[in-house]
Amino acid sequence: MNRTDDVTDGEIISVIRRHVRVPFESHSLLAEAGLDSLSVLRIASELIPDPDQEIDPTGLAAVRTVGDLRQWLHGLLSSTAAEGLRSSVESVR
Amino acid sequence: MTVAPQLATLPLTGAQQGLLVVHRTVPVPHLYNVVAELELDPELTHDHLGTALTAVLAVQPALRLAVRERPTPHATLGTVPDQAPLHTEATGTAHFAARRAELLAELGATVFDLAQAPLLKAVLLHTDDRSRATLLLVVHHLVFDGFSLRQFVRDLDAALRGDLDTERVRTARERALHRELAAQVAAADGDDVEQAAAGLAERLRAVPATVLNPRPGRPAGTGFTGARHEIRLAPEKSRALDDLCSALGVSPFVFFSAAYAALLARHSANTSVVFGTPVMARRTLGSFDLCGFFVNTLPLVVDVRWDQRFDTFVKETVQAEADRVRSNAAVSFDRIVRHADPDRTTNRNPVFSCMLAMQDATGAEPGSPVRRVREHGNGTAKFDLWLGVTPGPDGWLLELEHDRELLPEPLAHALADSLTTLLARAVEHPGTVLADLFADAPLADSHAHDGYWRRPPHPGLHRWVHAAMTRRPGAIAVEEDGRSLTYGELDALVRSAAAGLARRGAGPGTVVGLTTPTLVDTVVAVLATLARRAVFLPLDLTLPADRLAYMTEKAGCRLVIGRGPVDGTEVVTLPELTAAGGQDGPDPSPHGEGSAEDGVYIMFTSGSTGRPKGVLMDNGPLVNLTAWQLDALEMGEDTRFLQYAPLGFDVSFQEILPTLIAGGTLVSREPADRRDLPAVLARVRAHRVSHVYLPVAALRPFTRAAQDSGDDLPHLRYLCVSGEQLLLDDGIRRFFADRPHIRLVNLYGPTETHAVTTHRLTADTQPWPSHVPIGHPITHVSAHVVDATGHLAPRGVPGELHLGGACPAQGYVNDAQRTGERFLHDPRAGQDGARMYRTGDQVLRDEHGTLLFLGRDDDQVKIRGYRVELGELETAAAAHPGVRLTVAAVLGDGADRQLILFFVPEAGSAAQPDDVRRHVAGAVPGYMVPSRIFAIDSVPTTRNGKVDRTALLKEAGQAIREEADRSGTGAVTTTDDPLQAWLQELWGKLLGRTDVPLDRSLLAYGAHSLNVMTARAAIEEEHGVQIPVLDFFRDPTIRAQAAWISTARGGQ
Repeated sequence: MNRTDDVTDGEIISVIRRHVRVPFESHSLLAEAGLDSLSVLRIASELIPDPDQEIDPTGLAAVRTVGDLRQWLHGLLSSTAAEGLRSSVESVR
Repeated sequence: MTVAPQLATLPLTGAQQGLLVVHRTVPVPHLYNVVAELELDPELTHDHLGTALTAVLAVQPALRLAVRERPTPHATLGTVPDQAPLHTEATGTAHFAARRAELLAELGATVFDLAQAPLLKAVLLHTDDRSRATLLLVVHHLVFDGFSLRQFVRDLDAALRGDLDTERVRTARERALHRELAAQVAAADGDDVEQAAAGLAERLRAVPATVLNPRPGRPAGTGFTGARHEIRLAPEKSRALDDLCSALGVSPFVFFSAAYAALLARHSANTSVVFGTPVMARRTLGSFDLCGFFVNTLPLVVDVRWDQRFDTFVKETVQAEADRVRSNAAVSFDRIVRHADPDRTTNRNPVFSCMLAMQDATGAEPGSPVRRVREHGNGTAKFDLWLGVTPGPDGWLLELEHDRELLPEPLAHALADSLTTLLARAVEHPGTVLADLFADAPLADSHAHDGYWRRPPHPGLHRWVHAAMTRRPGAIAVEEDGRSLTYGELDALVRSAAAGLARRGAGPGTVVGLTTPTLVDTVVAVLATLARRAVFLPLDLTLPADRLAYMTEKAGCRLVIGRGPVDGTEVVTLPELTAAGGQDGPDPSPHGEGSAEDGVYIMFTSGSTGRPKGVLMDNGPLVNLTAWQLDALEMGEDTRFLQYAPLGFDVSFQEILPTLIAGGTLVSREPADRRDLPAVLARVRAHRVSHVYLPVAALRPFTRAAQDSGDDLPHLRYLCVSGEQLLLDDGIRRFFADRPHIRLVNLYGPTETHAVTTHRLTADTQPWPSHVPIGHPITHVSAHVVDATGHLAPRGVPGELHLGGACPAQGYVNDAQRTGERFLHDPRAGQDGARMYRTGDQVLRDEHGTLLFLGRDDDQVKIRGYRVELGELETAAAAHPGVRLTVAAVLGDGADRQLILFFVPEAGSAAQPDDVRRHVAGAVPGYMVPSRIFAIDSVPTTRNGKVDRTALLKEAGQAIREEADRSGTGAVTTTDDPLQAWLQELWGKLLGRTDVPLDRSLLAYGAHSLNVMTARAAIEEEHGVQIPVLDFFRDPTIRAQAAWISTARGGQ
């Protein structure tokens, strides 16, 4: 894990914390943490301000625990980063 | 900034296209209106609100969309209107509520022209004194899903506060809409979506359709009128429910899906249920700010095992299904339909008829000018049953919306009751097994009998009939061809015969076989047996000897009156029995009155499997039956009852004993042959018969004979039938319409209970249904309908009929084991020793509480999950003027089952299978249209006179296999007809193939509802006529479309 990932993970956790008002662990189920699908999307929107960012509902359906959610958000963020990298390469060309 | 040119035309999503097809299919143009109400700050003015609403239209591009269908369905984005479609009205405080309701109804019925944006209308209603104001809103569903209301309210709130940067937001939102649609279109084309759709379709095909109120004659289509029931869970119950969800680790959606699945399973009598749910299909983060129709409606398929614990059911079964559905969010409904190929010939949703929708809590912000938000129904029902679940500050709100034609009000009440009970029980004790989440329906229905009864003067049949015999000795008791017997003569013969029986040791409980050759002999033997408190056993000498031997041995019968020989018994003729006299002796009836438990007869049921069972029937039920019948059939000394039934058939009791007890006359059918109904009719006429009791199968030939001969039958007052499901056709209806003095009485009852329920049709009863109910229990009989959960079934729910009160027989003679299986303690009778008989028959109480017979537990014909009544199909086909006889049968097993129809044409008729198919397709629901129809010369019968379906099916199977071997060569693909050729070319293009035949279903070649829409549009453009979508699906061939167009153009 490099430094960027550390920062990202910290951000993710702090955004999740803002939406969950009960103690939770990585293995806590979303329902136990009081997170419904809408709050998951709100968390994603806060982390990724790009309105074009796509969500794959199949991937989202597999998110059951807070740990899964972190993982899923990581995936979204890294695809955004890759997208950003691609655009900068294209603009250099 | 102006609208970017590339935004002016937008694609429709798969979900929108699917909705458009449904919108065009249903006859109710306002079915897909979304109606909402926003309570507002009453100080708001028309101008202020109008400006804000215009701003919302600016920042919500979906609200500026119009939908066009040609050349292919697409949307166009309009510019921002100068003024939003807002109308403002003031009213007095006292009239506010009424006016609000009127406006809601008016708005709900708005018919939008989909080609004209905006697909939205709003009315601001406020009181004159500005104490209340509410904004009533209608939007077409094509541009507005349930989630959209939240965005709408948020934007309106911002606009009213002056916090909306309209221009900036408008640009961003238009771009977001564009991106979202592009993402949806791209996602829809993926192979994974196609695979997911195929997978879902496969699951759907494997389960039966979830049909609520699965009664015969259920309307195939509907007018889509609906009503809503509200169930509000109290705050503490709602909290407990939320806590349970947390503890189980499931979302409220999963919890309510589980509850709904159990509810549907009970009320549809299925163990697998299918219902739809809207799944959010938004793909881009920016789309979450947009109004629009971004949902796919997906089916949940849930297996319901009644012995499973609720908590396990939720956590395992339902959670897994919910996950599966969410992972399929990108699959549009139309794509599933394409794969599942369900029945599309009705205007109902083709995949599921029930829906569960989790609604968003649209809470207003504190201090907002929008104070409260809620959605309303608009008096329609898109589904047979829809459950909307909304969280609120005070707890959960459940709304059940039901189709008022398909689920009449009492049935909707029953559903609401079941749901309330099951939620309460599930939350309180989540470990409860699913069956126990339900409760008994009110017991009153079990006891709601028809009320006919004449108090018996004696507790036993013998004393009762004896009193009648001595009352009018000179009156005629029995009339045979060329011979009449008075009551006095009958009494004397009975005394002699009873004395003869006594001499042979026959007393209480002795079983006496009867093979008597004439009606007089039979009546004497029956009454003499009764007098001895012995039990008579009818024996039919045409039965195989080993069968007779089995019956006599099982029943313990050593003595037979009549003809012989009968193995293992002593046979005496009636003259031998009466020879020693006894006429003048004392009453030979022994041991006083006798008791209700005295056996009267043993009748063997034929039993389709295993050995026949001998039913020992005793006095109690038969006295009650007689007391009912004397009153119900208005029997008295003028009654002249035809004795038609064989003695071994329990109907014979109802012909003989009540007639003699009433002091009437029993008229022998002979010499007319039982099967020669014109001869039977002649006898009824000649002997001025007042009561006839026929097997159902004989009713049609009897009435036809009367119609042919033009006989009015002025003396006939009651025509009773029983034996199987009575289905009426127009011929039978005409017979009774022409003779309003004759009442038709349908009776039901297994041999184990005798006739127990009845339904009568009179000239005043209109209309006469095709599937005649079995009605209500007779007096002192209770009819429990027990559903799959083991509880008394609510109205509209199928269950097994359990019969208690004054009707169960003693049991099966000398067969304690089988008696124990079928004759049980009646736990609902409230008394020790109360018994009931489990019939094994499936029945259902309709909304009025009237019993309908559905079939045997073990004899259900289901095609694609729909219960099919072969008789109903046969009746429909037989109504074709060129058809004389019809036989329907089922070929194949499981999912391969198909309905086959055979018909014998009328002499001289040239009716072809295709003619008959068209006729049938116009008369029955699509799933009942036979897949193959064969013309045959005659109907083969088995040894015992029943239709030999096995032989017919064998030949049909052979014909189908031979045809399959030739497949590919049979279809006609060339034509000289220019219209057919034009259609062939059109479909060739749409389906991407050149070999589309004229007379094969286009569905088999890849046609689906979307390209059907395109074809309709092309046909309308070219030929100026519009083929209704349903007509297309009823006969999806080029030949049929050409015929339709020609007819429609001809009519112009």
